[in-house]
Amino acid sequence: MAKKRYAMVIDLHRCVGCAACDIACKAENNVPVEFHWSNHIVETRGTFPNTTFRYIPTLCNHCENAPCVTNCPTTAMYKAENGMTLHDANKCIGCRLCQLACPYGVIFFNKDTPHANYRDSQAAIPGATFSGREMAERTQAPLPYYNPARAETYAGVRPRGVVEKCTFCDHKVAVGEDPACVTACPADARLFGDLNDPESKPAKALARHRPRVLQRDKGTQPHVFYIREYGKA
Amino acid sequence: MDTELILTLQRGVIWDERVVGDLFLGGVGVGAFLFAFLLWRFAEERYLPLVKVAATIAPVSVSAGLGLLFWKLGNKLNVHQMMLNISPTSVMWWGAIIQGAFVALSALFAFRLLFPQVSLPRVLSASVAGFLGVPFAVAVGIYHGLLLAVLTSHPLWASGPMIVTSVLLFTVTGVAASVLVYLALRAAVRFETGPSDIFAQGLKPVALVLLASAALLLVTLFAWWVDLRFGSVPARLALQAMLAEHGIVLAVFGIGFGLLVPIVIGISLLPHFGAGRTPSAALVGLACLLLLVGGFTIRYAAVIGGQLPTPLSVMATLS
Ligand code: SF4
Ligand code: SF4
Repeated sequence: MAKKRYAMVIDLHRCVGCAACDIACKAENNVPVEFHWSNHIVETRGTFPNTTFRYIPTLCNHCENAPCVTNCPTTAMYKAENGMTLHDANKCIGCRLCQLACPYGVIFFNKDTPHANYRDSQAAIPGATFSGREMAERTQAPLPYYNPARAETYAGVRPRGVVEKCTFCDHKVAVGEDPACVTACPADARLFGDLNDPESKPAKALARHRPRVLQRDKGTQPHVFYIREYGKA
Repeated sequence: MDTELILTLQRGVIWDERVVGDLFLGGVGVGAFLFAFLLWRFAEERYLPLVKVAATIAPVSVSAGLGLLFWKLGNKLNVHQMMLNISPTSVMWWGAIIQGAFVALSALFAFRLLFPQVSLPRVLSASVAGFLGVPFAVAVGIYHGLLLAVLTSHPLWASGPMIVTSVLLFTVTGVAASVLVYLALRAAVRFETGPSDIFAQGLKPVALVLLASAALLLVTLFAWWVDLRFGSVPARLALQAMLAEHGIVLAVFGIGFGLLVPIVIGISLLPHFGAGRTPSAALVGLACLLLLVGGFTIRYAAVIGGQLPTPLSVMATLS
């Protein structure tokens, strides 16, 4: 059987810019508040009534030719057999070279122990609300929305001093599910699957529509494709 | 209304002053080693004190730089992972190996010169350490240029002149640091053998090498500017951003005080080398100090300025 080559297609005609993907990603992957594995670029151009608006969801592109991987001195950042770019927090020395090498700004570094807001004993409204620490203690989890399933293939919460990034929800894909952002999208704008399978949703979408990628000139060969950009063929 | 673009990225520079320090000290060390080796092999006995100083600077400086880099690592306890995992596509991985070997060889070279009376096996002679150390020194110098140049997402770094700048920087700063420390030690402990004016006359070729390297560095910096200014849109934007943030510091301390003033001092001192005349040690020292300040400033502007965020208009390019 041919090797899998996972990819995502984002249909910009369908995307409504609700950011449900971003929220779902945070909850699924225990992503710190200030990090954005699933992110978006918003562009507003022109003067009313001649204006254009672009909303481009972004995430790790799981590049075929990933500079984050080639530059990593410990192989902590690596390409999996199925085309995903994954990260092993146990090997990471926190040199941040991958962050510098990635042209897309999708890698984040834990300067401090993450989720500081759930170790803080100060209540948001003193005398009225829980403090973050109380909340974490009562839920008996490092953070109230902690998802233990994440820890099956990656550090559940990535420790201080290492980087972290989108993994295409490899833990979900391993059990035959779609990444959380795909499931959460209310407009079915995200299609995920194996590009080597011509019957997969992304393969079919790419056969019908001209695929675009971010910063093509960087030669990274992204595996996140955008179709049907407004105003473009 | 102008185009407005929003993307929330992690704030702050990724590689800070500690990496600047590592690259700077690494360059000093490599330059000092090559300088020591060449003087030791091809110059006369009277240069031995200067050779010893330069040879000692080499391992100390590179080790100090590595120490700064180690300090910068987020997860220091994992550093052994670099040895456990082979990562041949990573310039940094090669750098760790090459620099480790260089520190060992240059330390042995310095030890043999400083303590020739200590008897060690022949295979550990200064000659063996020196000859083996030269290719490693060159490799460390190239590594320092390549480390940044391979990061094509940073147009300020990914250019040919960047590598040449790096090589010239190690020549200039390595020699300048050696001469400066030598002069300071000579003033403090008067350890030189032989009449100092004869020695100073012999320094003329060294001064010429320094002058030529500094002048070449100026030309290379200009080539770097031309490469970016007339390059791709991202390159132009990166240059603009760097100059807006660090342009004045680069112009004043990197180019003005750091290169032009020492070149002028050097040229004015040239007639004083030889014919029984001795150049002012204070002026030579000042020129060397300024070259070091210039070298550090150029590194600083390149490393920190090269990390200014890529314009969002570039990041949002779909094609
Ligand atoms: S988008 Fe960045 S982090 Fe993801 S694979 Fe490409 S280079 Fe690596
Ligand atoms: S920060 Fe970690 S993953 Fe990134 S390059 Fe360094 S060791 Fe590799």
